[in-house]
Amino acid sequence: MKKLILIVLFATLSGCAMLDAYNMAGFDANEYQLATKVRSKAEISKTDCPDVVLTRRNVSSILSVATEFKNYTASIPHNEEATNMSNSLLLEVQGLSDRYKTTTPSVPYCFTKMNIIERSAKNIQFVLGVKPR
Amino acid sequence: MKINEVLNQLNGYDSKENQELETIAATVLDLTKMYEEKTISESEYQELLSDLQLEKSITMDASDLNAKAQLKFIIDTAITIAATAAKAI
Repeated sequence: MKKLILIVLFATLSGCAMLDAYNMAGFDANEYQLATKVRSKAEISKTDCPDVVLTRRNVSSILSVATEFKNYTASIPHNEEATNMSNSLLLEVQGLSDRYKTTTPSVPYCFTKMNIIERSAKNIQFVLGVKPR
Repeated sequence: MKINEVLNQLNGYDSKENQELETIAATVLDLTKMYEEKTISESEYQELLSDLQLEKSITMDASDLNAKAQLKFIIDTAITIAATAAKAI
């Protein structure tokens, strides 16, 4: 009887969480690939930070992929966390792009920014890979 | 303790999350040092600090998604076991 009460209580308390989990979007290879691309581009671009012209080109490329990633995740149903993460990642990249359009940022700024983008994308990539198949 | 925290603790994701939060905290210290040494400007410093806030929110969303995936795995396993048991009976 005690076990039955516990089961009913557990099901009642976390019913929404269970329904949410049951309906969650599954693993999507394209979504995973876009996160991997942002990570890889940021990783490679770090070494180009002293060269402003090359970095401007790299930043434009990262912005393009991050925008594609944001638009792709937003159109998948029951995909709130991935959508939030892709929005945050795009905001990080957007700041970098805006700065390179108007000024010539310092090398330490570029290096730190690329590190933050790389780490964020790596984190997203890992958790997207955990999504159920 | 929330169900998400329990699930993340069970599969060891919480230690990965703690490591990420420690890296963010260490980066804040590095940034402050760079700003004090004037290797980055004030606006760059402010922007990078807000990026770390975004990175933190990504870490939190990733943690929620990981817990959700674990819960989905448990539900799917329970359904499979129930279906197998029903067939056996």
